[in-house]
Amino acid sequence: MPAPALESPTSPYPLRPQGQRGEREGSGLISEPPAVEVEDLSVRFRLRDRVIHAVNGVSFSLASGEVLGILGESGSGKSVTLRALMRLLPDNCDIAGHVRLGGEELNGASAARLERLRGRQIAMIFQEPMTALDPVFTIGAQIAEAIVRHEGLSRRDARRRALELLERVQIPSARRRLDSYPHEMSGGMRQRAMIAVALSCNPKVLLADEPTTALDVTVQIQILLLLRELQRELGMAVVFVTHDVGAAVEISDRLAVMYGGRFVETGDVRQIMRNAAHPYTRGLLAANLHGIAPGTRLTTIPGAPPNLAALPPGCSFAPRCACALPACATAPPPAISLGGGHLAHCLRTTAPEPALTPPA
Amino acid sequence: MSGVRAIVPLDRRDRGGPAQPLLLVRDLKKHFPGNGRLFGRAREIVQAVDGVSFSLAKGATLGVVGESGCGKSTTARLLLHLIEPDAGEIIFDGDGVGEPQGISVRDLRLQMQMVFQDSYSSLNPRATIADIIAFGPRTVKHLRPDRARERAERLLDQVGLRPSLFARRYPHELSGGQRQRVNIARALALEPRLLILDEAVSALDKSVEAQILNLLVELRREWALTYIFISHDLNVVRHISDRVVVMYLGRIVEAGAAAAIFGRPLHPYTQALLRAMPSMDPDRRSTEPPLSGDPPNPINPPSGCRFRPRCAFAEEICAHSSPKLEASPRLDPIGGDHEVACHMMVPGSGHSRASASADGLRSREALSALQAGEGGARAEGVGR
Amino acid sequence: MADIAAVQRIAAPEVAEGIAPRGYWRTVAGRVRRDRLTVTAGAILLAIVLLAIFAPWAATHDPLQGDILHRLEPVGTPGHLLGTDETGRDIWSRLVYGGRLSLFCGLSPVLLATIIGGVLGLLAGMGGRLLNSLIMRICDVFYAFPSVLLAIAICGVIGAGIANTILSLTVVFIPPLVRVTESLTRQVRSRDFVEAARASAAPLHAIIRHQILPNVLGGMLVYATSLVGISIILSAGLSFLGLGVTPPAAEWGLMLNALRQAIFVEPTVAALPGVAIVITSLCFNLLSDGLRSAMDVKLPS
Repeated sequence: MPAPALESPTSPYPLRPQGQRGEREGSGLISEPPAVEVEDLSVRFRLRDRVIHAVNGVSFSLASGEVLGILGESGSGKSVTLRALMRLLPDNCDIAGHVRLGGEELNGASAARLERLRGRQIAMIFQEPMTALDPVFTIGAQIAEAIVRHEGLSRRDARRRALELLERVQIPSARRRLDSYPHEMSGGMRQRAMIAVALSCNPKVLLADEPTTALDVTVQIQILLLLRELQRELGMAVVFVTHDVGAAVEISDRLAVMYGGRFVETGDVRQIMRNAAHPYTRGLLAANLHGIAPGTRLTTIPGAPPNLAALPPGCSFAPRCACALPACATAPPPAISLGGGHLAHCLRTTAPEPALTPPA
Repeated sequence: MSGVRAIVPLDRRDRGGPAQPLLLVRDLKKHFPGNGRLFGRAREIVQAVDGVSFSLAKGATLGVVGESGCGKSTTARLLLHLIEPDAGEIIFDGDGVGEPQGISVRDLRLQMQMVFQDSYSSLNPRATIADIIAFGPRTVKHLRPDRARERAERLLDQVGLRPSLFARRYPHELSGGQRQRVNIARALALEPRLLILDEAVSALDKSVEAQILNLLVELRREWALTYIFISHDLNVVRHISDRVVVMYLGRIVEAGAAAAIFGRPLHPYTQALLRAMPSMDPDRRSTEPPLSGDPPNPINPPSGCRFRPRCAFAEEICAHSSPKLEASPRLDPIGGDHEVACHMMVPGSGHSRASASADGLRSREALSALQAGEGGARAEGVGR
Repeated sequence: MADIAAVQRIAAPEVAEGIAPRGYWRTVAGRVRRDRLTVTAGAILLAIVLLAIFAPWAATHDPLQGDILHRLEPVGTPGHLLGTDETGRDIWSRLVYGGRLSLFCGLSPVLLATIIGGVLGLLAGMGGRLLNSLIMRICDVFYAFPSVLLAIAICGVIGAGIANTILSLTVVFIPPLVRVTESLTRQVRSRDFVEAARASAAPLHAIIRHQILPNVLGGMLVYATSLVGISIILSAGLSFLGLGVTPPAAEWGLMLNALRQAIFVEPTVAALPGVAIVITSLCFNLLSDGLRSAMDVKLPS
């Protein structure tokens, strides 16, 4: 049972562990389906001469008001997972597995249905705000347009809602900013405007793809805190993808560490930060320079991320793992429960593992 | 590990011995004309770098931190004369750069090189790795092609890339970390004494970043290098630097030993910067952003202290006069010249918090240590 | 050096041994090879060029010798596969020999303009604001004229003939090549690796030769290839107007002009030189397009 914390989310549901094909521990009030439910999601890109296995069997479920942080480096498949949730992938992709939003299955949904879901049920914010903002329209016009389309309000009401939204994302002089163009705003403000657009139709799920990575550190903390506040106020479920451990810790209730297209470790954020079990997670945390005496040699994870077109048959981390067993190379390790919803996909979690020593 | 590095073997090109700073920069300035009209006076001036001064000892590593618009990248390019400075002096091992009795820009570049941020365009896409590294020695030092290639392969070895595997490859076949190693090898090809690393690890994944940092630390020892390490990532700067300068809007607001800057920051901006770093402890999350608003535009900066629009302690005096970067021995028992540009730190400046007495100063110290406590704790991982 | 072994282990390469390094041009060649349309166009062009080169062997008759008695024979006449022209000369032989002149007049202006325009464009791109303005504004003056008009005007002033045709077309093509080269040079110049080369105190000529030129040539090549099609048409047009090649030489444009009167008598024969022009020009355009899309390689990072 996770210890009560200073910053516990105001979720009506107790924290739920990652569901893995029926391994779900039940909790009290399940009358409403989870906001997001993903079962064995796999995504493959068919290129001319090879197939890239970007995501390989990812499963999780997310209740309203929960924040899941997906932590991974480049090539881990985290952004592809996010886009699969919104079906924003190109045509040369094969998606397998189930994705359910509020109980509704996305497989086989018509394009029109998906179009209606995006924006109303599920919205996304990006690393680069100009991906989401149209440079030739004012911010107010863009937000209002989304509201008019999805909720059918009048233009005047939509504009009023747009103003409310801008104030809610704490843009100074919001009334003036309604008629500003994106290029007239600074980076941090554009990020807030993008968040306002995403929230314009009260989505139940918000997907965030590294929204703070390109920001300066003083702006980054503002946006992280803003997202936390908004998430709590609106009771949204949030999936926050990042490679920055600090950002993930600031905003997530639960963490999933992703490597080679799979979740290698999941659990409550406290469990993972204090008791990381998977060697990759531990390597990642050690490489974070936090609490390390300056000038000492850093513990590094040797090697490079796997080639997603040619994944090894066993655990995808085994080639780089300091404590790999022969069994690790034969099959992907199953999820081993460490109690309290903390799962690690590593055979070593049952046996005592050697400490990760720096290379001699 | 802070303070001046221990004994450094002298390079054969050394001119003044270990006591002479390798680089002395005085009042460096660069103003860019903004988007003014061609035939009218340009109304907007981008004061990218406005009076930067520091000194760098041989064998030491200087970290430069700041957010966008602070001028750190422009400063790097001014040092190498990739951009012509408008004012100021750069003195390399006692010789003024570009001065008649001093050292020419060309000769300066033989001793000072830069490692760029890994980007798609940091390496020539049409050249092999060996050619890229051998380019400098061949065209500048006029080495024979086979000799230049030998040197390139030796360098590849030193940065951890097997020559037999990588020499004939092209940049697009390499990963980010490998490309960055090539960037480093290229910079070392001319055997410089000073390396400027401009966001050299910023574009890399954290695990690769750690590898490259280890490599940089090793090379520093092997080659007795002096580094200027520019980054927006405070953790990385803290790890690798001896001294740190904090830049804001073209000026240095605080300078000192790394331990002093991160342990007891004195300038409100530095304190905010450290507090803004995300918490690593889920139970001690941030509750309020230390600074509001975005880093400002360097066009038409505010009068006086440039930080005052965002400073919680700004007063009238801050608008009237720019605080000078000054050291006070009493402020810095650790040693190493802790300098701050803030009216609050100068007794008698006119700021209400600047006390005229020593007691006032000491309580000021205590207060800033307390304020920095959170940020400092985060920086050093205390209390996890 | 103690830790180099450890450091080397760290750099586990994704570049597998035994796989040859793939430079940019090899990648481009591979992509072109897979593009069937471009390959077909290239093959046709190659056939035309070979025919032109080996004209004395490919031709069946003397292109300048005609038999009045057998003028304007239709296509398929035994002995004259493609018929005869208005003075009885064999069309096939004249087409084959004409290919020499037409191709020569089509390709040389582009080649010359690429060299001259390329140099000027490089200077404009690398030089300061003054030099850049000087060169580019002069080019703008030429841009004011439509290319056909400009070619005709120049030929009208300096007279007819092959040399003058080539000269006038070269002048027509220099400004666009300068513009393309300048734009490419400016783009490449701002990239990090050029700044790195400058930072290593390399002399300007070395930077241009090793850093700038290899990255600019590709774009220039594509543009120049697209100009060849136009050049062939323009030179044929000039000959058609009497400003280019003089009779009785065999040249496609000239043949078109001469056969104009015969269009109601033997339309297929009269159209043949036109067909030759169209096919050649079209193939050059397709080749250029294919090159351009093959060169638009999003190299994996």
